[in-house]
Amino acid sequence: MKRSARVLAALAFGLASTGGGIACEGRQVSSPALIDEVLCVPDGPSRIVTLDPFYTLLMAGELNLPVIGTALSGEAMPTQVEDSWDTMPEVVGQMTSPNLEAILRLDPDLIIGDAYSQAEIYGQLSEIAPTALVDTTDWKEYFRAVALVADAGEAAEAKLDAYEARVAETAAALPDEATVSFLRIIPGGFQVYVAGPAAYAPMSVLTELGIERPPFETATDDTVLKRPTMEGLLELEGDILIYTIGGAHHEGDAIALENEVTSSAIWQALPSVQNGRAYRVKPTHWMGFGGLASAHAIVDDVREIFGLEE
Amino acid sequence: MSVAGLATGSGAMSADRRATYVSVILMAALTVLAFASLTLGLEAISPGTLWSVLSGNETGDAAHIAELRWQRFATAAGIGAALALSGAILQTALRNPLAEPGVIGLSSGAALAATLVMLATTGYVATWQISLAAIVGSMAAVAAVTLLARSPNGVQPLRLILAGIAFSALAGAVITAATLVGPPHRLPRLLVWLSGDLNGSNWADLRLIWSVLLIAAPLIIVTMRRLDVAMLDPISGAGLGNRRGITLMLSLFMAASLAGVATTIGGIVIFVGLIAPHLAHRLVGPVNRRRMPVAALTGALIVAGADLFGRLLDPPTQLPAGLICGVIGAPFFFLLMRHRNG
Amino acid sequence: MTPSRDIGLIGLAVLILVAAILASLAAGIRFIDPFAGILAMTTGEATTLDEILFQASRLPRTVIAVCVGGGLGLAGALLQTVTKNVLADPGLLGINAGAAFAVVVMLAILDAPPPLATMGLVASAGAILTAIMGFVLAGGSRTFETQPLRMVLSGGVLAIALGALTQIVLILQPGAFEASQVWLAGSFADRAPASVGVYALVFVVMCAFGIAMAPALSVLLIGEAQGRSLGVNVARLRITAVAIAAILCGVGVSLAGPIAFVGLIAPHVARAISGNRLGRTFGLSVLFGAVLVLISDIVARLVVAPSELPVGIIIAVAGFPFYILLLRRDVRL
Repeated sequence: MKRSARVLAALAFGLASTGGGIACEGRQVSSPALIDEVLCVPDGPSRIVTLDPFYTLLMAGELNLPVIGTALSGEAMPTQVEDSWDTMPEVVGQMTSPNLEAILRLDPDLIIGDAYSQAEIYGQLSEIAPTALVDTTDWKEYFRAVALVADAGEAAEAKLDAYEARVAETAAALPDEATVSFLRIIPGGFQVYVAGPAAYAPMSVLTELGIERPPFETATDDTVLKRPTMEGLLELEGDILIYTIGGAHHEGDAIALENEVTSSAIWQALPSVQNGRAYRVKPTHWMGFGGLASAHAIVDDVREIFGLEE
Repeated sequence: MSVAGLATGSGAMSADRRATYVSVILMAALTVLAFASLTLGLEAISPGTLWSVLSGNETGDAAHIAELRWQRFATAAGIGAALALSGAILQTALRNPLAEPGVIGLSSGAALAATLVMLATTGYVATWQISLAAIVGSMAAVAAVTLLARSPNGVQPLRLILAGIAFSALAGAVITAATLVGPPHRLPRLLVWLSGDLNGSNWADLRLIWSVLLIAAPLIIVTMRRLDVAMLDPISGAGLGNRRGITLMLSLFMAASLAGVATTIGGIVIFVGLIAPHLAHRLVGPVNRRRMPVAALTGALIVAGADLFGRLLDPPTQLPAGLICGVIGAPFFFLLMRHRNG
Repeated sequence: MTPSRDIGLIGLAVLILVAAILASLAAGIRFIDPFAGILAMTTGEATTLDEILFQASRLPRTVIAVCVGGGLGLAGALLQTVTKNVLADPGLLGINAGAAFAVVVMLAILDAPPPLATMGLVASAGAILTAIMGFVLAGGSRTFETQPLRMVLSGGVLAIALGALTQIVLILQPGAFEASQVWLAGSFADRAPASVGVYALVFVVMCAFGIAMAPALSVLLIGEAQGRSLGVNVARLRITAVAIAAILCGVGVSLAGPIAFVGLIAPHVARAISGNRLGRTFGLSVLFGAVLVLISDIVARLVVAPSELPVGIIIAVAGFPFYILLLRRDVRL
């Protein structure tokens, strides 16, 4: 009786010892962009689950990795995936709360997620499959880390090289003196994503293109965005203004919101607007950045704005 | 009906028996809920398979899923029991039938402290650091709210509630401000934590909440007996003198610890600390010796039930148990209010 | 209190409001002479940058602050009178939470952010429904009579439940999250000068109605039975007062998000000056609500200029100590 009680207690509180450390049968990888110092991942993973619909899912897609499941933010699969993938990955819940049972059921051999969103469930994910949580704000490092754990490093470098070449070519063709402001209009306020050490990826792309931002939009600390008042919009002193409406989830008609803002006298007083150089871009890539395709799309937009031929 | 009258004199025996019956029924209900929690989910596990998992004959995916579900169920039950006990302790110690860790601002204090730690410190914050901050925060909140609501005649019941609600509003505003000013890339983790879902419940969470409960149990038995004496018999209660002050301090400390740890693991779960003790009161009367265990069992049932519901409602999306308790708790609260009035 | 001192105090209060309005017009990332700004408006089109800023930002923002603050102040005064409870506040009674919930649901359903006017209607509907629910759940009789404290309690509980429901909607529909994050904190989305006029009109009309109800409501204060014997339809009176309060809250919430404590503080300061004359209390509540929100908004836009903090947070931080003070002074508690 006593023994069975002890067994029951061990079962209920997880005190029964489970198998100890097993030697790594795949590759040992390490990168400063991963939260583990050393991580054991399979050779050529064939069943990958990604835990957010932006970086991990879209980057995995760009590397043609076999993604069988992903967590989402909201109900909808990103348009990039919806439009061009042959088979949709299975949804395993929200990125803030991936459904462990759903992941387990898919029997993945590799899980890729984001350190800040999924750290709390890291232990449990690792028991399902080798789990790489990426921890960096630099999108190219992020891309390399995803490629590294998925055994696609060479493909990644080739794609990055092609991108760098295009960036260098574009940067050379851009006029030197033009400064660019970037604004996001949301219902309830404004967001200005800044250039700096912790910049959101699309702003890093602008910086890579050698584009200068006005002082208000340049940070030296880890600021990512500022929320100016209507008056504060006057700080957007760039010769060119790139703006977007809503977020990655609001692809719908935001014309009413745009009209409200662009009809105001303060908007009309901006130097870029007065020179007819305010451009609206789609939020898909600018606010739902997901890797190389997004970076290329941003370069496309910049080239179009500056009137460069492809 | 005057259940209190039964506590003294000849009725004590039958009241004890009634409490035992009620406890057995609730335990049976908890067992049924445990069974449901283990078998239901994205993919049902049949009773047969469950049996082979429990007897160790099945070690595949079914065993792994059962393990995940068990961790979640047992953690949720622990959180529910802790919050119910915290509420019952607060109600007795503060002589306030409406005191509850969520309503008087303990949970908000915990959440506020944890938010500040998560956003203000550089680098990765370990989970234990967040837990510690949450416990300190909930203790600071209970101290602040009781001090603010104190008058020469002691802590006035309604004042405490209103101070608590206002404190929660303040803490909520500061948390929102912090999320707007703080670094956006840290937000996801904070929001996950604040929403308090039990998705990540693991053995460490399970052991943490149950060890706190095990440590608290004997302390509760001792202090509550004293408080019962003080409550039922003001004259001999006054005779306890200084020790009553110590008992009060110890009670508040325990209530804050229980709520703080529960909040660390399960986020802000509101109303459970109110509903469970009141249902217990209706079932077995006001004497803590009988009320406490029944309240703990009821609390466990509520939170574990809410978590199961949140898991099954719209899979694979999962809704946090705390939010579900916040929604289903309100009607309960109104029913209680109406009954007490009647 | 002598009549002359009375008038002196009211005059001082009006003076404070005027000063706060002028300060709000002048303060920002650059100082603007408010008189010059007003003068320029009479001459036609804005030409200089200062004139543009004044007309496109400062003026609408100040009007919104006055409408929201004055509206919440009066709403608080009405609710405190109807519930006979000095701790009644649209924020703490859950009315703001109801309005916010309605707006978040709408943001979640619609693909595109709706125009401000739609938000106002939806928020008002949410506010009214919540207020009615609060009354019914507090055990209100058919004449909408409640025990004062039960109303506060049921409102607080409703606020919690509606807050939880709002969170659930945001989890199921995260697209609405970003859109509502700033707004839910209580902030002036100061970019719709065109619709500000409509709101100002609603505000003025509702305030006029509210203040006009003072004589009837003061009969209520004397006693239910007396009121009935004087031929007052008590139920209709209460419902009308609550509906006006809810509309003012709904408009306020749709403009600036849920802001607590204003409806609590303003009537108290007003009562301290007016004695218990209801008409005067109502008028002064509008005035002090406006002053409170104007000052908070100036702080909100100056501390992190040219960015801004949500004004609701400034008010919550300032309002909490005040609330506790009132709580400690209330002898019934």
